[in-house]
Amino acid sequence: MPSTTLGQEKWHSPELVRAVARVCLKNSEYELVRGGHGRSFIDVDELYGDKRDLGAEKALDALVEKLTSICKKSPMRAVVFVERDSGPVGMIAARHRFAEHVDLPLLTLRPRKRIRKAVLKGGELKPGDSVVIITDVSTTGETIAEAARMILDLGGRVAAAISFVDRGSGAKETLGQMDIPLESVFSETELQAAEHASMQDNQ
Amino acid sequence: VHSGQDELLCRFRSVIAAAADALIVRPPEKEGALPEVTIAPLRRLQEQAERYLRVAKSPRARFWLFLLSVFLQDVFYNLSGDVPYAAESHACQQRFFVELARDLREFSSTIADEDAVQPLNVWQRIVSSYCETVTRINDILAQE
Repeated sequence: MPSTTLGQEKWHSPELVRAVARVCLKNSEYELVRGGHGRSFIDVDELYGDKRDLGAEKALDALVEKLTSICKKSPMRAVVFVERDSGPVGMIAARHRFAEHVDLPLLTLRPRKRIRKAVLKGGELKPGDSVVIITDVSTTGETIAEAARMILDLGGRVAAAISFVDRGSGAKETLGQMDIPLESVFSETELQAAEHASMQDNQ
Repeated sequence: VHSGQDELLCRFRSVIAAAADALIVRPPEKEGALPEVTIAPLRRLQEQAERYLRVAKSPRARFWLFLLSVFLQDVFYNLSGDVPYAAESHACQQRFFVELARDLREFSSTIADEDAVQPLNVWQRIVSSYCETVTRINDILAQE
């Protein structure tokens, strides 16, 4: 089984990983927001509703479990979702799942807002408040790092970050320099391997 | 359409002027007060700019229509919806829209001209006024 940071076997059954890969992986050429070029686009938005009924949506529970475990270890003041450049999607759409299991304010950080008081939606942060950031895909970690700097500017601090898929392109290292541990549920390599295996089975 | 004027922009002039006029719903009740403003005409203007942009052929028309559309999107993203309310910051916003109405009227009268200096001057004013408004609102809300 490919190694992941979550390390919980139930979330890494071949069926589930294949389902997530089939739903979320899209082979295409695209530009990364922070520079660079990608070949496999990870579209987590496709999980919601999972129209092909492959059962991939239940992988979101792995995120919930991860979040609960982090919150048990160190008290958090809020959970923060970051609005992407392309719009308010990504993990924000799954916030109801977190609301059911974590009794914390769920805030949305909107880095592009020019009015400072509108940057954080859903609540305010007091000086020293610890938060955990949840994001769909981590690549270089720069988006989370920028959000962390913004949260610091608003008075809080990011104590941890969780991504659904980590591409293994430096996010852990970038965030490590800021003392922000990054946990992820799946790695891009794991999803690609699952997709490859599915293709071989179909041939 | 005069010599050197862009035909599409000549048509679009009246769209801008109409939106600028419709921004002011009611004149001020007393001297020194602000008029009642609605930003709905700006949304229609932005949609129209997008529509014109799809058929625009000249670089000049494309430039102005794109600039107008993107600017208005930014204004809507930042000054409409869930901006925390404070009477002083709200007045600040209203003043910006009153100035914008005046500047858009001036822009509409020069947009089609071959000489771009006048419309560029108007845009410097519009963008500067927008940035100052955002700064002022941030200062006001920080003190709330």
